[in-house]
Amino acid sequence: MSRAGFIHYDNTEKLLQVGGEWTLEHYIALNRAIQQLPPAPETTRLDCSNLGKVDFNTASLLADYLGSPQLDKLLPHAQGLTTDQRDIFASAVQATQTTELYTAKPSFSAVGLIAQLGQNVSNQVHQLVLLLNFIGDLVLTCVAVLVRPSRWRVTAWFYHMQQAGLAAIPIVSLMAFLVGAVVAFLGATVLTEFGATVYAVDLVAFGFMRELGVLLAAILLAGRTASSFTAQIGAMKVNEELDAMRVEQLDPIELLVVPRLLALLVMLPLLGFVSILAGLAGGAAVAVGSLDISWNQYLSILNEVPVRHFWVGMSKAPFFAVVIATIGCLEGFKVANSARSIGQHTTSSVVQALFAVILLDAIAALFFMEMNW
Amino acid sequence: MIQPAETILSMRQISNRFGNQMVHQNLNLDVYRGEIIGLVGGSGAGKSVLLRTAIGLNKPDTGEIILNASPIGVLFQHGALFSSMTVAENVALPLIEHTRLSRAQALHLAQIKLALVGLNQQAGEQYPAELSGGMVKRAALARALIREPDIVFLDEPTAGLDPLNAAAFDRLIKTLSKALGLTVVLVTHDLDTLYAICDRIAVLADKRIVAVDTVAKVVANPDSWIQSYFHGPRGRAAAHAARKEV
Repeated sequence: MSRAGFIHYDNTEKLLQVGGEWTLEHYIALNRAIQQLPPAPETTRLDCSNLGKVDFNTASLLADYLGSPQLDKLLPHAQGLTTDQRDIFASAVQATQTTELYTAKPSFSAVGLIAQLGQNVSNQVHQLVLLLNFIGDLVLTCVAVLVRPSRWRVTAWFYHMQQAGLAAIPIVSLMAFLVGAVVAFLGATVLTEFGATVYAVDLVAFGFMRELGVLLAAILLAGRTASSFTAQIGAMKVNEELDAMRVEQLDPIELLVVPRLLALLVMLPLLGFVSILAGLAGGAAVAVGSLDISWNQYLSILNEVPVRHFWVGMSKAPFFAVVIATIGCLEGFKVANSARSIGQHTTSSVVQALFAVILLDAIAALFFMEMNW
Repeated sequence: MIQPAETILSMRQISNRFGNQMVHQNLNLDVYRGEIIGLVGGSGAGKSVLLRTAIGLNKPDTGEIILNASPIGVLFQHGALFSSMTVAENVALPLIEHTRLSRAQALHLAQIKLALVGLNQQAGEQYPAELSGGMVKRAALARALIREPDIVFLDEPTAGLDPLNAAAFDRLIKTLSKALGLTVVLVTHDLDTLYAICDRIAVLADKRIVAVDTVAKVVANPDSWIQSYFHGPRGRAAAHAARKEV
């Protein structure tokens, strides 16, 4: 019963015949048929006596072909057109009147490239201003909160200490243990040639105390916690929770950012310490297990490492904590009103936090070396 | 020709349960081809669950659903436009994915569909996040209609719209339903919508459909919940407005 839609134009009689099923499944065939007809014909009559079902998409095809004014003129006198069909054609006429044919925009141009560059620069400046603004806000709020114990959010603080700190201990330990073992193997491989295998232990001890312990913990938190801060705050932003807080005269920075920042300030040094222990354990496992160094010998080598190296390493932890918490939270606040934006800003938050942590570590290494610490 | 009694959707002995809470129990509902049927009920009565069950997004614990239509169109309460695409791409997506139309053709049809629901080309090039609530609803309706479905399900189509926009949206649904021979199932709290466009109303209360009939007959139903729903201050005002228009 489903006859394919057809369209036929008789040039001598100026008669346009349409018939069959004008539905979406025949759209491509009808479109092809129309392209073979003379463009913009001077039709005076429309014959629809064989027309079956018509849907809106194909009706708009005819409106596109004849132009809406002409189809509009033909409709009242069309042969064999039912009221329902006329209604559909009429709504297609109305809709196509205001629609131009879809044209793809050019995707590349030199001017566009320069404009894009300018846009990027001004965007970056804007981001920097936002960051400085946020840091200022955060410092002020922190001071205001710290001097008034009644405004401490103890529950939130403990919650975030647990989420960002305690929950991260297993993965931090495992990672540091493995890296410690790798560093010990690496040291052994290089130092055996000089007959100084024993110094592989020093390499692990100095490396983890000064640099790797805290750095590994910070890198893990940059991936694990900065992203979760961004996603949490971003979801609240999409849900207008931040606006609701402001309306209730609550400060989102005080409620959301300060507990997270303080939690990381406490937990990152502790995680760094755990990471140092795990790294040393990894080194010990390799030293005792495969480098023929006894456990007592290992401990006595560790004992001779000056403790200032440990403090040099740990002194970086609070800075890393501030950087991770600030970037994670700020990216959350930057989320716009969509699910996609949460994803973009979560990615950006992890990338920025990692970059900032490593940059900060490099600067610190230079500083400590110049200071001879 | 359209026969008035042909059922397009038939739900038989539907039961839905979430944990210990029974939402629907032995619920029956028939929807006829070409009609606009409104589903009403108190907040939390399970209207949205029933809608999701009819669409197939929620599998009922027991019961049978016969839906004689494919494809179907759905307008979700908050539009559910895909946020990573422009509005026109949103509307064109079903065509691009399910037909052999070229991308340009699909986008052209999408623009026409958007014009049909009253959105211009500029709105089509924007992202959903940049649109107002009313525009999102219209765009979502255009997406629901793009594959020329026989039946569309609308979840609170006028919620969140101002009265003028809501009335315009009601008219749009009525016009489209008439012109395209569309069956419309809508869940609503908007009494004006019920009076203005619905051919029949189904009332969901006590885990089942307690009444399904024309507005006039449902309003006369002695059920206490129906009486308080339609004869409260808002119900009376809407009925008054509907009488004036006629």
